[in-house]
Amino acid sequence: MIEYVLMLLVLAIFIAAARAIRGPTAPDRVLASDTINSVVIAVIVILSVYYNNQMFADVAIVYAMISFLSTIAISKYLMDKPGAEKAKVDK
Amino acid sequence: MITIGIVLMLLGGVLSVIGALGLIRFPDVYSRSHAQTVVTVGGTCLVLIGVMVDYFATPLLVKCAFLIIFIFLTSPAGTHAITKAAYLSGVKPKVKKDEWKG
Repeated sequence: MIEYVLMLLVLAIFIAAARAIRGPTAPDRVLASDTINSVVIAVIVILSVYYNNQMFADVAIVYAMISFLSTIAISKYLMDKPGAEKAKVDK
Repeated sequence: MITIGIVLMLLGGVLSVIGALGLIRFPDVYSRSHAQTVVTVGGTCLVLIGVMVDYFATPLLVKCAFLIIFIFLTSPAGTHAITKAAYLSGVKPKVKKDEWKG
């Protein structure tokens, strides 16, 4: 039965990847890749149940930390770009 | 054999697909962040809760509980950072009146 959960999660990854490829602006792509990251965490935990190996869950924990770090880093980079309208908001 | 955990995991998979479809269908990045929250909290955390219910007496319980707490802490911060970066980098929201601009 657990294979059907994997099929649904992989379908969700492909649909989100379509948005990451097509997205008109850069924050759309960052949002779609963040979605893919959070689905991949669920996929890793399901694989740890499927292969009956506890070590995969540790990989999921480290993956969650690194994906959060990458999201914050890319957002900070987009925020500090030269064309950003900073003065309009910070008045 | 169908258990409660399998039902929760299937519900999480269905919610992931629904959230990904919302990511395709919504018009701009600010409303797509709502669909991203559906995938993160509704999909991933429900799958993790299903694993916790089915494998109650194993170390997987502690790891999944830590993952759920971590996701609940970091997902709002990440989404807020993305939407603030989108606004500051000049993506206009598709609304009639932009209340942050004044």
